[in-house]
Amino acid sequence: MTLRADGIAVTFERTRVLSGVDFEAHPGQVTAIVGPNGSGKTTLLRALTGEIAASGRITLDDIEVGPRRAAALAARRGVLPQATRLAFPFTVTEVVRLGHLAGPHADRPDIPARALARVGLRHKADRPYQDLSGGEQQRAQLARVLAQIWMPRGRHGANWLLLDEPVSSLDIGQQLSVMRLAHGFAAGGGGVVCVLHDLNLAAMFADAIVVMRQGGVAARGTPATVLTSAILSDVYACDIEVGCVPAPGVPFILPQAART
Amino acid sequence: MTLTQAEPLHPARPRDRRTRARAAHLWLVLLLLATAALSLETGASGVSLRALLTGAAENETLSRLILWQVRLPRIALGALVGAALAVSGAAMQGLFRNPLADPGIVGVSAGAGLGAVAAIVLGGVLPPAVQAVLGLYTVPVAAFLGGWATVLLLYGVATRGGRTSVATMLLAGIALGALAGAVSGLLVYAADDQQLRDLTFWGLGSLAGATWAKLASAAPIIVVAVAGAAFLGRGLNALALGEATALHLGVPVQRVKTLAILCVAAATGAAVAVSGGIGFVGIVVPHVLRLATGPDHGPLLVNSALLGASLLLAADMIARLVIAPAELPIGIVTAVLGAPVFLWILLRRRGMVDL
Repeated sequence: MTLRADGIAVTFERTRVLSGVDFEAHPGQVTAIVGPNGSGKTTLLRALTGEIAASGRITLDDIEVGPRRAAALAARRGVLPQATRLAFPFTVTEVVRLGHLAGPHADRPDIPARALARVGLRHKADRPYQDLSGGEQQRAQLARVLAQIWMPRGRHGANWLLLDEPVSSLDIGQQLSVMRLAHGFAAGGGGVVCVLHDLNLAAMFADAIVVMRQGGVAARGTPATVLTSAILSDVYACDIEVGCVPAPGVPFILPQAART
Repeated sequence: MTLTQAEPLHPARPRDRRTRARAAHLWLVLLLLATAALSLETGASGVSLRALLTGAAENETLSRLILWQVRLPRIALGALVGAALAVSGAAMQGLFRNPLADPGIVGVSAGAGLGAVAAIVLGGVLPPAVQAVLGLYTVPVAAFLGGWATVLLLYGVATRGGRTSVATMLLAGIALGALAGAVSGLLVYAADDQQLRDLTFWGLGSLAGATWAKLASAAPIIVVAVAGAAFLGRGLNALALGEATALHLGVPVQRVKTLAILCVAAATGAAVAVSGGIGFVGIVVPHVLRLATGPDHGPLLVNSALLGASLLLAADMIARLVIAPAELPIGIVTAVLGAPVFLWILLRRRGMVDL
């Protein structure tokens, strides 16, 4: 019952962008993928979804991940890309319905509206998707993914959400509620894999963290073991101080730099 | 997110577009029947079905001949070609994720035309056995192959990593269209007298030469292509979100793309083979329908076939009546109607075609 990749490598136009990466994520956990720009976070996630070809074996609950098992995967796994532009004037509800109809709960017509409510977009349900702001489009796409999967667990076991920078266009309040939503999904028994830029969000919400650097894994483990001053300063090539929020015992990350 | 926002329990929502799109099926069938009936009644000869039925016709044999051997095959062919062009447009726009894709604009019709010209000029070179098998279908099949090769090339050039560049698509389409046109021109030089007659006849780009035999050569191909396209709805909707997302929605992306390309090539090829190049139907019809009933490809493809058929019959009536007893090429009528619509879409979405 895991999402697992063994020694995967990805090559784009003769440039190796991912090499020899092992990866494992478990249901009931939020697994965050962090790292500097160009370190291969998104490439790793896209390889894990099967949308780009990678050498090596990737399995989700023993299903071989890849285009050939698209239908079986769609029944238990939703994927949120970084941004989605639409060529045709679908309304927000129609976009969400595209996800809903692909999932195992297509016979429940109440789900699209409820998914939109969960991302706070009920009031935009009938607006053209193209008219939404970047952050609203991101949340509409999240609603589409939620409407597809809806429950953290299905008849076959855990369901999965694979999210590529789900909070990149959101304000701080929305970032927290999206991360809470992901955390709630994991707490309900589902698996969440999430590419994040914000280390503090990773510290607060992730159960496991994978730190990427130059197409490989630089460190992995719990937030407390991975988010250390030594590892982060090294990976991000700048001075980073790590403190601790006393009450919940969560690390907080503070870059140290003079303003000049 | 948080549910604290004050939201009305039943927000006033416009009527669901799904119902409207399905209701449109019925209205468009009625429109098609009405256009076909009107089309059967009008013509330069003044012959009328009503007169024939009520016994008021002056020359019954001639009336019957004109209705059954001239107007009826022309109406059937017009409806089929209109449906083929509109469905090709809708399917191609879905495939390329772009409302500007149209077989006429991006060179697919020119490619199909090259196939047709090659069949007329070089068809005699084929082994007799092949000629015997293809028979009547030689030109439509060659046009299909020409169209197919063009769509494949275009898709290969314009799509990288699952994303289609609008600018590349339009520019590559121009280049491929020009190339196909040039090779067609070369073939015309090589043609003998009889072939030139055939070519001229074919190249008139009108429904004027409609016969039952011509209809029989194109109808099966068009019917199969349009029926096949009707199954593309879900796949093309998912593709609108991008190839990767369509895959994550469980859509067999490769199969949908292959089927769409085959349907576009077959429908465009057969339409071009029997009626020459008739432009803009494929861009106007889906666009009008999207405005009226939304972009859902399920009903859109079916409605496109129906409205495309009606539109071409109406355009053909205009072509027959404006300078009667002479005729305008129907392509002029569709271009006059369609070119402004194309420009209008282009202006509204100028941002999308930024180079």
